[in-house]
Amino acid sequence: MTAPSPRITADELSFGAFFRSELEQHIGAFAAAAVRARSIDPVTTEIIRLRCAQIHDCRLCGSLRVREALDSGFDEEMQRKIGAWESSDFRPKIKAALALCDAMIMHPGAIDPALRKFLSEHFDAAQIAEICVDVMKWSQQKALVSLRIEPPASEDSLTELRFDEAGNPVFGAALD
Amino acid sequence: MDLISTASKDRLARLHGEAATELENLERALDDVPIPVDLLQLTDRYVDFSLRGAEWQISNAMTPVEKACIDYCEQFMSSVASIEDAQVAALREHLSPDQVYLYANAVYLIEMSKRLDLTLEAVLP
Repeated sequence: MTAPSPRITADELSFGAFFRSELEQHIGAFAAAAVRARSIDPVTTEIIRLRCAQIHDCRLCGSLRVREALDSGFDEEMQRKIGAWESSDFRPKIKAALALCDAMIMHPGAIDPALRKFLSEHFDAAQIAEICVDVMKWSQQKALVSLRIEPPASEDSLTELRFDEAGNPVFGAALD
Repeated sequence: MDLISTASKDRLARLHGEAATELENLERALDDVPIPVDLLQLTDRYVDFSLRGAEWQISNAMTPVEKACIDYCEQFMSSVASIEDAQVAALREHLSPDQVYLYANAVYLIEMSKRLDLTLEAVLP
């Protein structure tokens, strides 16, 4: 399959617009604040991140794996289950997080009250808020997807993603 | 431009203070984006209508740039990966590359903050 062509290029953008605009900087600050929150375990967070990548077809996000999640037990078998998570053998807690993710992205104006009950069985209010903020953060690349300027970090392999103490992303090594 | 309701701001401030602060900063930054304010307000109204399931009335009085923005925005919300080259090209007929890039980020922000707002309202006390 041919990779989509960029609809705008870095050369066309002035320095002040591309990665340096005030809006871009604040979107980055919001994203970093989302990453710094730690009430949700790294594996669940990674599964939510990859669900967002899948729904939005973000090639960059899908090409990355967060190191902390890998160290906490995330593996590619889990990744393969995300697309059909409802019928998967994911734990109910992960299914609750994914149900919230899908509801926010697909039909936030028509959320079933049963979801609120399901979530309350597995998360407290701060954790639910953190998942919601994560879904917004992990949807950040929609802007780049729409312009098709989100190529994978590597065409050949998955790439490690870490975050520094401030919550900023750091691309790491290729993963086997 | 208010990105989320006062009630959701209060919930976030209580449960995720840093995110609440950054959202307020984003509201201010959005006000300063060098895109005609009427286009951002139109986008805001369209996203709000769509997420609440209301039917958007396409007005004959809409200008070509407004139509291009709504067309892009509609696809952005329903299936961003399905946006076509022609839809971005239509934006580029009226907006500079910088403005198209910033508009894409603004649509993300407006859309996802409203989704956050509606979701927090539905799942949190």
